[in-house]
Amino acid sequence: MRCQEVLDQLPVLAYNELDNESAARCHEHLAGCAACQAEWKSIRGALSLLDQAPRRQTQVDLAAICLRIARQQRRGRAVSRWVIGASAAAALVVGMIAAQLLAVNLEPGRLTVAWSAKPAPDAQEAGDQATGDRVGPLHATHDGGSGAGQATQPPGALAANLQRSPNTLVLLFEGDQSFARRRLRNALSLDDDALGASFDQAFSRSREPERKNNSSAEPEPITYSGLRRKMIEGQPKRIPGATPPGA
Amino acid sequence: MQRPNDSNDHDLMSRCRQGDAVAFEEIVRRWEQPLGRMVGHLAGPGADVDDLCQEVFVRILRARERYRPSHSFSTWVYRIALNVARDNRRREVRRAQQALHAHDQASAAPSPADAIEAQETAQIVDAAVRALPDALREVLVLKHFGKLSFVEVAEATDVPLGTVKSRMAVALRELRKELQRRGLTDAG
Repeated sequence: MRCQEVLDQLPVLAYNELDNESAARCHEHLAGCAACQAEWKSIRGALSLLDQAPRRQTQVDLAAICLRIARQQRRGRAVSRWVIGASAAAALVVGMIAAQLLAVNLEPGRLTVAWSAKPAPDAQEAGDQATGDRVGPLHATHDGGSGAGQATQPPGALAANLQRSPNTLVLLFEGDQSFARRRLRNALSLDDDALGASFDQAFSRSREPERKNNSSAEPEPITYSGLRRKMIEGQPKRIPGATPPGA
Repeated sequence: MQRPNDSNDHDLMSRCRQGDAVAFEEIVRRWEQPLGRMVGHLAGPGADVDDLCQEVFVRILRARERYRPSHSFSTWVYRIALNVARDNRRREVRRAQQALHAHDQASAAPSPADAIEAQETAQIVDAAVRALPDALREVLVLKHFGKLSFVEVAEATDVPLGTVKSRMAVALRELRKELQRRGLTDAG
């Protein structure tokens, strides 16, 4: 075997991907060739240094994946029912792991929102002491089942419900509303003050049925069309040609 | 870095295609670390690796109908990651060009503080890998950090097998030069 042939094979040899016969011939050549042996040592040294490259921990945010897909879909693509289930499951998992994250998905005429709650300060303190990472209560409501009212469920039961009917589950928030509203506003990129204020009102109104009849009635899900309608209703009417107030 | 088992991934992907959100979560948890490490080496120095990984999973989700179980899942996933990293590099090049126009001249030389920090072996290795030309770095990273076979690297990069092997040989040679230039002489 000539030196150049061996040198060409060395990277493959280093990763044990040479067939036995070729590998044996390479090793035989290396045993008698100082130059190729030096190259072989050099390659193995470089590979060993490569293993010392930094190992960073990657944290993929499932809710952010769903949100990104939802935003792409909002820009005109058809919405997959699958994603709705994914967002709810993602928010559940992310909520259980990292806490305080939010997932939003849109389909025509409907906005499905899932987020984890920020615990009350005292509960958070207790949770921090106990686990270092705690999620506030998550409530689940099915919007397609017959007579299925709101029920507080532990995460395990919530996960089971998600698997049974991932497309019809709506997660509701109970706890620090201002936190959830803020996250939702940010997620929907409602930077404009007027639009954001209207959104806040719409958000509060969407939660009223839940407060009024907490034990039996099914809370009204937050719908995209409903939010848009409420936001538009909350805006000052613009009349073409009219002078804006204060102008 | 462990490479997740392909047969389990086939099962998960099959469930994912049928609309099983839990299967997708499992895929994310199995692949976020391998992909993160690979994307970290392939993307530009200022890249937000977590964000790029999210983009990889978004593309996996959107492309799930195109996944063929007859092919290696890891090769398919790394090919998507490679495309995300390439897109990011192109964006960074554009941003750098715009910044150059805006500020006339920007010095690319590392600051003394950076040089001191870079004495760590891991950082030197990382910098040496990043210094490789894109075509060489892609092969090296897919092969070494992605744990793909040479055949799979050829498939992922859409380059002939012989070219992959020769690029790997050149990549290792250039890497050793870079490491030595940066003061790591153990490579030789």
